[in-house]
Amino acid sequence: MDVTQVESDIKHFILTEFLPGEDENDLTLDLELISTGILDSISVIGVVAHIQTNYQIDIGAHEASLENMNTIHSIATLVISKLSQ
Amino acid sequence: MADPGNYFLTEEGQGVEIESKTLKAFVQLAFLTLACGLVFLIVRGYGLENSAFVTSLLIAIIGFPINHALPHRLRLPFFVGISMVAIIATLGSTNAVWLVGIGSIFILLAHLPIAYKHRVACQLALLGMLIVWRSELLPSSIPQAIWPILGSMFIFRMIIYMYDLRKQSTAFNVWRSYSYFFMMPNVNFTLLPVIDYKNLFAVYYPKNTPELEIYHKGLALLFRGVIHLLLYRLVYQNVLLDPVTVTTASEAAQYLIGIFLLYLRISGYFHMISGILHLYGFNLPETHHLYFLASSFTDFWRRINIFWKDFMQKIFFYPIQFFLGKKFGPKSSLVLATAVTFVITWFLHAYQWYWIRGEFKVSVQDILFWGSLGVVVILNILVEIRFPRRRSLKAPKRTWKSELLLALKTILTFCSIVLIWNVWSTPNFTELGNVLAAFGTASLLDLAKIALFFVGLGALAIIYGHRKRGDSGLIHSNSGTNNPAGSSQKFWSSVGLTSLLASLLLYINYVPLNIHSAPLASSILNRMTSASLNATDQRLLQRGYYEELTDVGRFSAELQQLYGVRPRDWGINPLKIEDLNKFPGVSLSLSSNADFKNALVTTNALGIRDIEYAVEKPQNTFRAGIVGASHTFGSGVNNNEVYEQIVEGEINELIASSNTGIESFELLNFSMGGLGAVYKTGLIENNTERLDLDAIIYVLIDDYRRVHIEAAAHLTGPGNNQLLPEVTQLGEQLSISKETNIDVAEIKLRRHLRDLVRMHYEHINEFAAKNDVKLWFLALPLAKDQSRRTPMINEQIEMAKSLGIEVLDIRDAYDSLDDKKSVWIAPWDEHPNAEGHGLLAGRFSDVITPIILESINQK
Repeated sequence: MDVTQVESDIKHFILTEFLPGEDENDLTLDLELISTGILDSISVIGVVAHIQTNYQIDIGAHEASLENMNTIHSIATLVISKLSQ
Repeated sequence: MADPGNYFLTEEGQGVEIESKTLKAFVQLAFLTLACGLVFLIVRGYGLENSAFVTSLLIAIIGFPINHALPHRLRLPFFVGISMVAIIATLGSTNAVWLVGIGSIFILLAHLPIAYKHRVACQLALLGMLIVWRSELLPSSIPQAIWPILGSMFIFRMIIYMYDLRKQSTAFNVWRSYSYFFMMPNVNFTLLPVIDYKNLFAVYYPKNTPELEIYHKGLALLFRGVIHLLLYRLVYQNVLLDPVTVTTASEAAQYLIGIFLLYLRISGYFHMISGILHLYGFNLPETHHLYFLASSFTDFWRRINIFWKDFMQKIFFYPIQFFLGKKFGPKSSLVLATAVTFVITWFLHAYQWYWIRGEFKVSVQDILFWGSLGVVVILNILVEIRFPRRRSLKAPKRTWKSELLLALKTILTFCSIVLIWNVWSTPNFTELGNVLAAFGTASLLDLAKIALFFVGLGALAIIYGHRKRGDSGLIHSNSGTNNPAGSSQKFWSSVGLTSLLASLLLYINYVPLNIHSAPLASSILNRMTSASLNATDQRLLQRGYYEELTDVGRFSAELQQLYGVRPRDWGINPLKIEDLNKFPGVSLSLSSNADFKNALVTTNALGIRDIEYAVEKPQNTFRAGIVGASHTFGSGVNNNEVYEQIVEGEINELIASSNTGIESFELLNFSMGGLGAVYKTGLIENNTERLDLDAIIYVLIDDYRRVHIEAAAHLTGPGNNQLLPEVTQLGEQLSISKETNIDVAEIKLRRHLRDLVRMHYEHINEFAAKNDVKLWFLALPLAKDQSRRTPMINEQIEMAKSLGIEVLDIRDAYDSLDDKKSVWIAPWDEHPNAEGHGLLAGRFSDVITPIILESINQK
């Protein structure tokens, strides 16, 4: 699995769960999700739960940080790094 | 485990290159420094903070361009150095050595080359020892002054530091550690934003962010901090009411909202602290974001003290939720994690209280506040799960319906938070209940006033409520701007506007406003420049968790001296005895000496602050008594500097050189701080005949507000036998008995203030006539804006004149002063010093000498 596939999956999840009806072209891979208020502490937990279930990986609480969760790209990078461990 | 080899290396200096060493950048930097200088002048001129912080701010502004000029790798060591300078300048070298020494042991233990859990155990052992010493269970040589500061530096940040150290999610080195814990200006504040270690260095001169933009943001935050502190002053001086004076619905609303608005002080501090850190390259996000405009409880939690929310989320909420999520599922674990987080929040606030004040605080108010907030946030989360909030990638379409809904939600959230905040802040629930009861008497005018306020709040929510964090105020982000000309234009317009507003504020401070067409506005603005206590605090120091933790004078005499703020016992006259069993209820110790407000106070054998007089009036003596409050008592000046003593001496000199048949003039000073009409009347009745007074001088200053408080104390207390019959009768009419709560009695009597004042003046007048004693009323000035009291004094003067009492008006005594604060006894106390009493004596002598001489001749 490569990063592009993970990015695509996470983008789809965010669009479905949090941004229904929004144009997918507006949701870029580097858009800041937390800083812009699209994700908050509760929705971050939803994203983490999705990743853990979908990819069978364990995400630590300290990894649910702004650094890892602020963009689709950074979330996908975290997933890939976990999968490669 | 941390690698001790790397710990002592400096890893900074790998960030952005200094892109701004052109002439244009130099000019911009120079203007930024000058604008920071204007902010410094406002802080100093308005007395917004203690003198120690003023010094630290000056150090920070002087160090700012030096820091910028240094190579990148030297900047963090320079920041550590200048932070140490601020610590020494504030605390002195001995205290500084203790503070940095104990802090260094904590840091050292964190990096010992042993297992992580053993390092934590060592730290907990040290913490335990410090608790033993802090609680004074064992004697120690640790100076008392450093405890609150040590607590504010380490109690929360050490938790974050150890968490990040364990996760090894960022770099650690000696300069980072010292700048994190000892950062300027922490030494000047007992409360600081709970800054995250990892995030602090993630935003230290970040790549792709121009340095000037960070500094520019620092200036904007400093100025915003100033605005918050000025608004706090405005609220403190003009909005806050004494709860016992609340009788109408609009006053009740004003009181409740005023208590919540006191939080402006904390947001002001945090903006200033963040501003200073920006000047040294720490590009931190906002600590508060338009928290008065929160549209839900979760929104409020995300807007107020955001760093605290982030701290709780990182250290407690996520770990608990991640742990519980596996067992209970996402929804239940979310609720449980939120509940536990709020319990921990309550505990940590009590823990913070312990380190700053030296005692662990468990109160019903705290439990109710954090419990209520936790419950409403949980309910809010459940609602958000059931009905997810609408998110959008584009700017949401704003319709009338959506905007009105936002305004309504903001108003409801504001009202709920205000109520919960008041529950947290009230010293007793009876008092709060009495305030709330005033809503039951709402008139149409009251409702109109309250509605007007909420319409204003709703309008602000519609205009500003959509703003995202970091996108408000004077800060203009230039990141990613491809147009240097546009960026430069924004810089100049923003810095120019800040400088202009700062200059205007300085002008208002140094040239008191006198807008003839708007006297109320003049008065409000002029009071903003005053650092003295407001009318409420002169009777009882204001309440609230944050107020109690930021006024160091209330809990640390040692830190108070170092900070140069009001001492905790400043207003306590050690010679004053309050005993309601003996009417009028207050007296002074006989023949005693004491230091009060840095001046020697001596009482004579009669129990008054004056020279010795015989009980029996000597032959050929004209004896007068003067009955006033703290100004005539001479609070803050030595015995021989009180204006009445000066005038007494002058009149005696005149008598000695004349041939009146009178050999001596005696002016007995019965004054005491806080005396109102009830007490003054009692003193007059008790002493006129006993001491054979020929004249009484009754001083008007603020009797108006105290008379009902004194009457309530006597009607509900043990000793009302000598109260005027009319007052006792009024008490009966209002169903006030010995069993009545004093707060309730005060509220009932407050509605009859004028009646009470008139009753006493009529009584004094009749008493003087009956005893053939001359009676004069004296109107004194205050060495500050008098506009708020002028109507009350004028009303009393009219009342006196209608009774045929002669009024001596010397309210112009300070008119020759350009700066009335120059005669204050302390920056926080407007009582006149020796120079002020000299001016009072001059004017008092002008009006009293001729009539005393005339009275002597008549005699």
